[in-house]
Amino acid sequence: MPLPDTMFCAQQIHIPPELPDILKQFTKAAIRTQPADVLQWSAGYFSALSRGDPLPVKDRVELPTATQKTDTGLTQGLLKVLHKQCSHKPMVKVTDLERRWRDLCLPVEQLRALLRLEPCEDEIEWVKFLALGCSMLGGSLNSSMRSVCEVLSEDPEGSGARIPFDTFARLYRYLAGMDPDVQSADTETYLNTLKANM
Amino acid sequence: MSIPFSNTHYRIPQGFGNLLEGLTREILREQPDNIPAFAAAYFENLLEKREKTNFDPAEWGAKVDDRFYNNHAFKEPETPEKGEPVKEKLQTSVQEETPVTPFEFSEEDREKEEHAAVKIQAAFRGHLAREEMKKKRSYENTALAQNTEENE
Repeated sequence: MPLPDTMFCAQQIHIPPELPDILKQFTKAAIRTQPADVLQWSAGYFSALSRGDPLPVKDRVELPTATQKTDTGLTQGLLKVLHKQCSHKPMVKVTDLERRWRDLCLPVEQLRALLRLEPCEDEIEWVKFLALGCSMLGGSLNSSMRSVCEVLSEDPEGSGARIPFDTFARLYRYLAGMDPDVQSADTETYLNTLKANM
Repeated sequence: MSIPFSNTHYRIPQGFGNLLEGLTREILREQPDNIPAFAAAYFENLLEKREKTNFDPAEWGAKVDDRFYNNHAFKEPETPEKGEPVKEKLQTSVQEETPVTPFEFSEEDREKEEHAAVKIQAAFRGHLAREEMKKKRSYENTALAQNTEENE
């Protein structure tokens, strides 16, 4: 309905019935996600909403875990958001990834640094990227794998964060292969004992 | 009423209110059919503007909020000489006070003085006028008396 030319009172303004809900969800998402750059994030939020993509929204508020030493900007919650957005296909386009990365107010240089570890043309396997991202979060291989499990797991938050053994083994081998200090024989014995214990 | 069950304060991101207000205003003004698409275009436009002119409405809104809530204008300015001994401070404050007081008094009393001067002058002029009249009258009287004497 077009608005009348002359406005006499507030009752003449037609409020679209779906507007209040959109604004409410938008606000809740902003409070939950706490984006560093609100404008950039808002643009990403609405472009995802208009395309029907998964929204760049955290499931719950993350306490600021970054200290001055480890302030990379990337957090497990943000990786989970990216996982929600990208995991529907095994491969993800680098351009898509970069756009989503920027919409989460993360520095592009960091993405470039991550992608240098896994040389690729214009597509990258999502789980590999996720593993790389997790390795950036925590110092050790174990803490990285813990993050991987927590992001990938279908279990509700706070429970065991179980993932299929094959996925675990594959990503463990992948990350261990990145580290020159870890012998591949050690990796295999670790995985074998883990399988035997299951 | 909502009851907070945790001590974590959920904060609205800085400048978010400003963005929300702008978006709502534009939606109500344009009445688009597809609100998410319109909002996406709106924010893309703002982003482009920010890249060109370096003007961030969110940042600006945050600044306005800060100015509004943390108004330091009425606070007393801190005394610049903190390290100096108290004695000197006292002296300076006394020195500052002395020239201030008479200045204030003169300002206040100037009008009063003016009034008083006008009154005194008026009274004196009246007195002079009355004197003159008295002299005139006594002169006339004497003249009259002389006339009558002469006539007799």
